[in-house]
Amino acid sequence: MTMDRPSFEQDIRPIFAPYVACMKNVVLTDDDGAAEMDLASYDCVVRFHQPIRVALTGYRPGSTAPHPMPPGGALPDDKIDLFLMWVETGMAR
Amino acid sequence: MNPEIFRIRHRCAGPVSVLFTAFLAASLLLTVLTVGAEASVRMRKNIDDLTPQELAAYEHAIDVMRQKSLANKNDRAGYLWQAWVHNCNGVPVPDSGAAVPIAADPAKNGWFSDADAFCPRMKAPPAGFHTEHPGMCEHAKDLFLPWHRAEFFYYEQALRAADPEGRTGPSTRGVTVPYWNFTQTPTGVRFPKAFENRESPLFYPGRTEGPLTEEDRQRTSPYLLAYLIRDLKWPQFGGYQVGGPGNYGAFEAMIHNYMHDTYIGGVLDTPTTAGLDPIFFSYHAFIDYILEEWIDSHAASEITSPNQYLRGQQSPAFQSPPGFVPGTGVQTMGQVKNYLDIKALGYGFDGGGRPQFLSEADLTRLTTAYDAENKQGFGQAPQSFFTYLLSEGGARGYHSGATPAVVQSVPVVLPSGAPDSLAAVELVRKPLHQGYSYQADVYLHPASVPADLKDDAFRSRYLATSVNYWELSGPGHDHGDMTETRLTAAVQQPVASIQAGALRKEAWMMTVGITPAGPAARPDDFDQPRLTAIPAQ
Repeated sequence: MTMDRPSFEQDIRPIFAPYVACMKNVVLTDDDGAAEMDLASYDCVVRFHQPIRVALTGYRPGSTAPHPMPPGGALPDDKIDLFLMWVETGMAR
Repeated sequence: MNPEIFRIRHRCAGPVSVLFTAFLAASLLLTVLTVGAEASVRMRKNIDDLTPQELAAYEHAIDVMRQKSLANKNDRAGYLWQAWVHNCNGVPVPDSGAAVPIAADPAKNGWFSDADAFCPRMKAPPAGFHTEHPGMCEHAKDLFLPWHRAEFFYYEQALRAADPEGRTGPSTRGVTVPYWNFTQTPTGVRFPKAFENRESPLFYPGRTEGPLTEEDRQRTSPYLLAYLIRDLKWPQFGGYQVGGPGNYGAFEAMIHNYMHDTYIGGVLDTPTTAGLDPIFFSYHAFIDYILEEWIDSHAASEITSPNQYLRGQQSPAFQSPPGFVPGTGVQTMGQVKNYLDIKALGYGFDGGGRPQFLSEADLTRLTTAYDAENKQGFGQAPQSFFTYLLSEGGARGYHSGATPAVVQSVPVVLPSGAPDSLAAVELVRKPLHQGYSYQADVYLHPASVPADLKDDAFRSRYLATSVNYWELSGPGHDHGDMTETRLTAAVQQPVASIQAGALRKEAWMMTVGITPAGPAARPDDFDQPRLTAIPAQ
């Protein structure tokens, strides 16, 4: 990645890799429909980036996420920040 | 000082309410005529009002659904699948479609064994199987009430499809889910009689037993319920949008969770197993009635997230709700907006010729009496308004059965009371290996008054609110692992009352007593509570 524009393949997919199999059991919905949560899929993560953002930051003070993710405790802050930066910079593939 | 500032509720008054009453009377007449003309609208009745024949048909429908699940646990018209819809993310289903029979557990009144019934832990399916997704209940957000309405829309179809021709018992063609109005004195010891008949399929072992406690009565106070319905706007009543300023609505936190955890107990204390006990459906049928009463008192258009799809996989043989448009991807139960008009959905509620809820006028009488008795505002009256609601206007005070394992006191600065914000208490439990449900009683008191949670007078005078956290862990939900939990509860009215009263210049403390369901709580499980301001919407 460049420091100011992370990409999914290089930066985000490795963060989510340990949770891919487990999260495929979870169905998420939005205003368009529903899908199994595939954290290895760029399109799926882009589609549900908002609930993922809420869940990933769910351990932080001030958060109101009912189901913070991932299981087992919060990701390190630098990984959460990387995901947030990826969202803010346009979710590059 | 403007006396209206510290009045505990805002009420309609004057010519507008006269006109409104006339309009309401005309509307009711029209409604009666309309419903009378629409034979297709099925009425849900109070379970205590069912005729013996109606009760027998309901019991038969459940028994047939149970038999369907025993023949094939993955039968979507069976009872087990419908129970799984409430909270089972994924189950392995044979690719061949072959039936997977299970055996009844004699120790469970003919119901399923825990091994068969409990949702399996999430993992990849074995060879020859694929994962199907019965459903996942929505809690701690604005989808809570609409999602459960959708669940019931399909569950009732499963009931009616059980034995419509009456081949093995009474016809189930006209069956609806009878509701249990838990704010009325139970006809059994603790529940409606029908659920205490140990020979009935409505009986499921493991529930809390014995007569009601004082706290059970307080939590089921019809005044508390009426106050929540009549006075609270949608997000405060029904829950907040994901990512919004809060999570639980007041009804879910104050009444719903306590009922699950404590009043009913048994398998209802965990979302993954709650639907296994048939009392779940009658309990939630009344909650659906409560949603309808809220809509009647406010407007369905205030309900947020109307386009959101609702998780749940049902039999394709079942009818979809009116206006259903399949979304992309995995099958759902439709969108929130499909479930806001119950007449269009084909059902209504039969009050049995008597009020099932206290009216606005009943509530006004109570709050007028409170205002008249307690001009001084929060902290000086012998009872807080919240205690007053719990004790139905009587003088019993707050006799909580709670025995707090964790008590925390912190000095607080009262939020400024900006018009677009609400005062709220925020409770954060640290990540734990073993989660638990808990009740939190929140007291606001002058720093000069020591917190004594064993003293009825202290509890009654300074109780600002009482909320429950319903543990969302367990197999198939939230992974059963370490998570932090956060509970936000509005305390706007007591704070506004303090700010308008003579004690506003005092130094104030907030004391929170936390009572866990089970022995697992430790004093350092929780961060220090915070009194904060959250956006009103």
